Amino acid sequence: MEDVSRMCNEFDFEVRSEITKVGRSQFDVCYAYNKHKIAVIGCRDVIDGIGNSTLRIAKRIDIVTPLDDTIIHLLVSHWPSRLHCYKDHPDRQTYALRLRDQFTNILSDYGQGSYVIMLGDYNDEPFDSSLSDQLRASRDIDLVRKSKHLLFNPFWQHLSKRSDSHHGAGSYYYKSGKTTKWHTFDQLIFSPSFLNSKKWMYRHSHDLVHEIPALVELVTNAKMNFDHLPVYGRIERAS
Amino acid sequence: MANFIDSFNKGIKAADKARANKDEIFSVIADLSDQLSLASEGKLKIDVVEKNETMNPFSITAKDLFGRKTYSAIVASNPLAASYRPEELARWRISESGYPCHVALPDTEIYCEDKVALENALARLIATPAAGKVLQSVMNQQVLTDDDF
Repeated sequence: MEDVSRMCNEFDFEVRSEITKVGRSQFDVCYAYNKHKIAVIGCRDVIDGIGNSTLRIAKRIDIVTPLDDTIIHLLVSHWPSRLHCYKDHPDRQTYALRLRDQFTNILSDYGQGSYVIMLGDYNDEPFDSSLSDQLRASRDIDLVRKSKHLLFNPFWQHLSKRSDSHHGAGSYYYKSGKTTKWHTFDQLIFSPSFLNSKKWMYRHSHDLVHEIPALVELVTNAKMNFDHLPVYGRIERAS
Repeated sequence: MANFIDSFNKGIKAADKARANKDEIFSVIADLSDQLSLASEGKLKIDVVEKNETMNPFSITAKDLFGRKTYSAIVASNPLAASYRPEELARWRISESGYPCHVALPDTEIYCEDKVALENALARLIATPAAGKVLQSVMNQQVLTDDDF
């Protein structure tokens, strides 16, 4: 952590650890940010209690852009692996429902045009019902623009290898996969405000997964522990 | 013809369930209140109240006043105090069906799916330093004396 901090500080990036204990587990979130471009104004855990067990829904990080005082709410998630919570386990629906509730609460507190970005390793694909039905993260950007209820998930475009020039076919590589070794578990999902607002806009990109050959080699190497490729999303000021 | 009777029965059942859930939720809050009252010799009472969002007095407009937002909060008050001055412990939300209900602590937002989860959340709330400070200040509010009557 100190090494990462030192390297980031050279580029004016602050590094913060948000590793916090929750029940018998913990949130495992760290982040780096450019202190000249954004300020962090709040950070809290969002959890769900069912009896004595706890689901880690998201880490909520509220940031502000000093340039125009826009508040952006980030909901960072790392939902459980399918080895510990199988694909159709009801908890996966609860994770998505509570994340959706958190989004609704933010809109209620800060206004319908609030800027919200959800991101993380969901261990679910864009088409799984948790993300597509419960969270309502859609592939259809035109529909999201017209609807108050949908979110935009640009990672639908990363469900397969689109040409021979691409090295991967998703963001996560599972070497024992029977019908596919690649999955798109790492995603960023945007509130409709990023498509409709005149202030901050989602910027389109066709390569949201960093398929750096050396990284792909690491991820696909059965002897290595790395199994995720980095993903990113970009927003920009509209004017 | 559409079967409205089935839908009607479902609605009635859902309403009964929601009422039972809400009764259970408020009985947990009443238990918390009773226990804190006992521990503080009657100086603490816990309630859920509607509050107005605070507004900046320097930039307030008529539109702000008419559209002023409210929210629910868990508050502590001192029944023995000279005046009713409830202090906020946490913001609070309850869904139409009762569960999940939502408690916002300073560093954690908790969705409670059942009674045990709610009890755990409230126990966690009153164990925070911020809540401890609020409870202390409420207990220290000026109490009524015989001269006040």
